[in-house]
Amino acid sequence: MIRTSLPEQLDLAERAALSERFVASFSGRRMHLELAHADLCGGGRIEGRVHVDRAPAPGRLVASVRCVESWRVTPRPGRWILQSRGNQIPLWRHSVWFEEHAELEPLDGAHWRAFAFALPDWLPPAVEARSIAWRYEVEVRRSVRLGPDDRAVVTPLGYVDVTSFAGARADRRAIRTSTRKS
Amino acid sequence: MLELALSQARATAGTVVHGCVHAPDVTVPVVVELVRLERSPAGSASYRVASAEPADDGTFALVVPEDTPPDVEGRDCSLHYSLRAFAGPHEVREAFSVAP
Repeated sequence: MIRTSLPEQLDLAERAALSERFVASFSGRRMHLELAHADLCGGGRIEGRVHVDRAPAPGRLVASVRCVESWRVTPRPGRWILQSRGNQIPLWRHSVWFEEHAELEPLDGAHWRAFAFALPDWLPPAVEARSIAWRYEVEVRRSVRLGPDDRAVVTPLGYVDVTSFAGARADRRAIRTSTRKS
Repeated sequence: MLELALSQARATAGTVVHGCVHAPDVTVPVVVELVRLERSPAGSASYRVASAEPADDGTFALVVPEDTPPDVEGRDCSLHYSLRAFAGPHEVREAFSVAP
């Protein structure tokens, strides 16, 4: 089984390397997520709970998990005037490869609701590499009558290898290169 | 001219890969590296994951680090490995895979 960790549990170098990519992990306005089990690969399983922080938290409650494929985009080479520092900030593109939703019972008087997802066999393991990543985002969204939905997201990480150093002859044709603890 | 022979073409993280490098006409030191190849729509890049220096007889033991991710074939991106031996301008690569 893959060792699973949350972004805030990584060491400083790994967190610094991850800071340029969007690893969503935050609590909602009235709720937060805690994972009980996360086997982040094809055939794996993700289980957790959404907890109420500030009652009341009425509304339709939907949990979802998505597998996101993400890759680093090099700033495109262009005219010299475009080669400013701002244009050298690495950008990351991502596409959702798999997504599944499950409607939970509303949090009317309850303190928490549990959810569980079984991941299909063909999905990849969760990997944060230097220029590409596959990650699993777990989200619970609560509909509210007025204003934007209340969302809580947690992204457990599997393999994190973002500090491997470039080889002496690395092929660099195109790539130059608060969530609560559960 | 370099020749690289591996005891296995597949390993898991935390294990040791043994092999041998023949470099008959090479006078500079030979280095063996485990290289990760990352491909995406934006391009490809390779990163050194681990390295080893062969003994005088050409044999080497390269440790695959514990936290090495396995090979992944995604929809638009992929992550693969190869073992590379080089000495000066000479280089040879062998396909290698890391199992989960």
